[in-house]
Amino acid sequence: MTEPVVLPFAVGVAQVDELRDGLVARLAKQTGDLPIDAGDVEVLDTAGLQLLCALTLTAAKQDVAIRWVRVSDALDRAAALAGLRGPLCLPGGDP
Amino acid sequence: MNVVDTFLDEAAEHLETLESGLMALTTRVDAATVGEVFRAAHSLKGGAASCGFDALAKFTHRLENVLDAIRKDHLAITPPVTDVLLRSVDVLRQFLQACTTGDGSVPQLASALENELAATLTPSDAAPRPAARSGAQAWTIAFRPSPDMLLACIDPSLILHHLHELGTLTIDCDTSAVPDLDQLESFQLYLAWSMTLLTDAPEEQIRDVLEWCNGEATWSLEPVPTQRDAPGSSGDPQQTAPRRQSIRVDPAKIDVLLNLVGELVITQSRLRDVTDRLPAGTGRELVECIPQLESEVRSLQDAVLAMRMVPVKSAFERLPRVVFDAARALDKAVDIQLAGEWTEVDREVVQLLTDPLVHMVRNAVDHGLEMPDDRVRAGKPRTGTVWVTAAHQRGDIVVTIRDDGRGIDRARLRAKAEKIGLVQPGDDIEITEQIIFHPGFSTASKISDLSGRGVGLDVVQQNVQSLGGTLAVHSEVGIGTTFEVRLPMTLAILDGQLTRVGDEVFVVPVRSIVECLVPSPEALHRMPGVGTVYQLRGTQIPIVSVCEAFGVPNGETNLERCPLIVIDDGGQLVALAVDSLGRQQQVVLKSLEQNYRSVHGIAGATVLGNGRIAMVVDPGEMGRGAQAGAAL
Repeated sequence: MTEPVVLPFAVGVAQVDELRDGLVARLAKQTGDLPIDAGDVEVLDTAGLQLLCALTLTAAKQDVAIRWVRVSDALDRAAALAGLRGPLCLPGGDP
Repeated sequence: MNVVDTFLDEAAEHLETLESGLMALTTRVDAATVGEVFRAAHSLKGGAASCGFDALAKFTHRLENVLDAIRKDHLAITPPVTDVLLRSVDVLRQFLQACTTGDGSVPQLASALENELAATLTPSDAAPRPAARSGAQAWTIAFRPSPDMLLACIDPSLILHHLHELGTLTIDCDTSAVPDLDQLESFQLYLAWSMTLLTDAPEEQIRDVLEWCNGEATWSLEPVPTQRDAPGSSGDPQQTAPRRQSIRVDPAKIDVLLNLVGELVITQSRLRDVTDRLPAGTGRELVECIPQLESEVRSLQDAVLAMRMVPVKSAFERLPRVVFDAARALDKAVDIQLAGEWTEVDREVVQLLTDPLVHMVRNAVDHGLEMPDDRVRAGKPRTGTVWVTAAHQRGDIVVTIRDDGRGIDRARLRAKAEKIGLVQPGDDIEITEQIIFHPGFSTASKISDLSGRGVGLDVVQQNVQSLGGTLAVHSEVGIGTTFEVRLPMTLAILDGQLTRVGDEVFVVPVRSIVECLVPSPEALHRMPGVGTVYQLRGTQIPIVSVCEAFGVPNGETNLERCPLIVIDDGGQLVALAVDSLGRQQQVVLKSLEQNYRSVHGIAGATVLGNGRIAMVVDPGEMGRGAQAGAAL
């Protein structure tokens, strides 16, 4: 079973570079679906949402499906507020 | 200014907004203030996360949850809630202090307070926000941030959040510009939004939210036509938010500029010195240029100093909290009234003013104001009042702290002065309120946790004097006490009176000088324990010989042959005896402490027009020794 990528408490502009590098590396060797555990994310900003957006779009180009294992309320609210629940393919997100 | 510096700068403002807003909410709850407090916490959290201060972001997140519940009317503002929120502000201040120093420590109380904040909330706090009432106006909004918006430390989610608060927001995000993951730049913004907002808020309120991004975005706002609208009417043309009216500049850059202006003042002074020594009739054109140069340098200096000016408001904003805490600890009822918060003064002065101000306000609550029952018995309102005001006077900033308390009882002052040996029983010396600034002096009948430990006002006075200012007190029994802090508008450049002592030149700040005079010998008297005093219009003024004070060789020691410079040291007059007086000129104060070491009686050094170094005397310190045994 593929180990999920666990997102940290804060997914903000300060964390984007490090997270991006890790996700790029993970995506490069990923096939099938990529599980993401975002259950602990409490703080995120637009830069963080963009990162998740780029992840989803790039994964789709590589035929990798993002599978959300856990989604925190904070992420769900922030994505809904920014109109990104659909693009991020969050559970229950608008198509 | 880097991102962290900008965050710390803004965080201090958010903290002030939080604290002052919470204080306002203790007396009156209104939605605007609640919203303002919430936004401050939200911005603080976002900024902290952006800068990688995760612990701070996490703590602020808990605080924000509580404020969000209050905002949604799911939680009432009660004294226990206010208490935990205010203590959270204290912890935030400690967090920011740690961020500033870079030690990365987490305040000890943070974890416990996080639990308290969480415990404040109930499950119903997560209830959804009600939609706008039916019949509200619908608006379409196109919002396209500039790619650099994040670099300006503005997060568009904050704007979306504010729009969401106004009603029901349907939002569509344009992700077409988002690059592949490996091409993503953390500070580059790729998203844009089109929205429909159903709200009963006025158009102006929506515009206020959109204009908040200060030129870092283009946006349009158009009402959705209703059936009642004529076709094509009411369309709002494409708007571009106005360019920002202000920029943030690192204060260090302004200091560099000020330093250069200081050097220019010195060069100008040298030029004047050179032209003064030209043979008569030569260099006429050059001589004629000097006044114009001086005028322009003065204008340049004023302009640079104005850039350092900030409202004294930031020093005032802590005071309601200080009064709140002190009143609660002492079980007193106290109101605070602030005025003149927008009076501008050099930022360095504001920073240094804050602590003395806090101490004096706390002192007013602790010692100045009576217990509520005592006030009622004295025919006063149960609630005491402390007024703090700021104003410009004669080129200084004057801050007064006034209370309507019991006033200072001179009989008690004398008893205390006799008890600690400052005066002997039967001494024919008038006791004034100024004696409370004497080290170790306190008339408090019991020591409280807030003040009254016998240290404090003397330290406050020394701090004020170290800024080149004065501290005076006036009091009336039963009516109240007023402290008056007078400070220079800036500490960097001052008008100085040049004096000669032996082969040295000393500079006396003009703002401290009451008058200069040549004493008549019969007006000089010796007083035991004080030294020589000068009788000026019925007042005996202690004389300090500058020559003897600093051990200047070849200086004049016969006071009958010395001109006197009478200076005002916070209501007490002191005369400085020098060999001769020179001209007055602007001088740039250079720190002696940073370049050499602290010297008692010297405020700093300056470079004169002829290249010589001159010492700038500290009127406060010069006078203190002279006053110690006199005019109590």
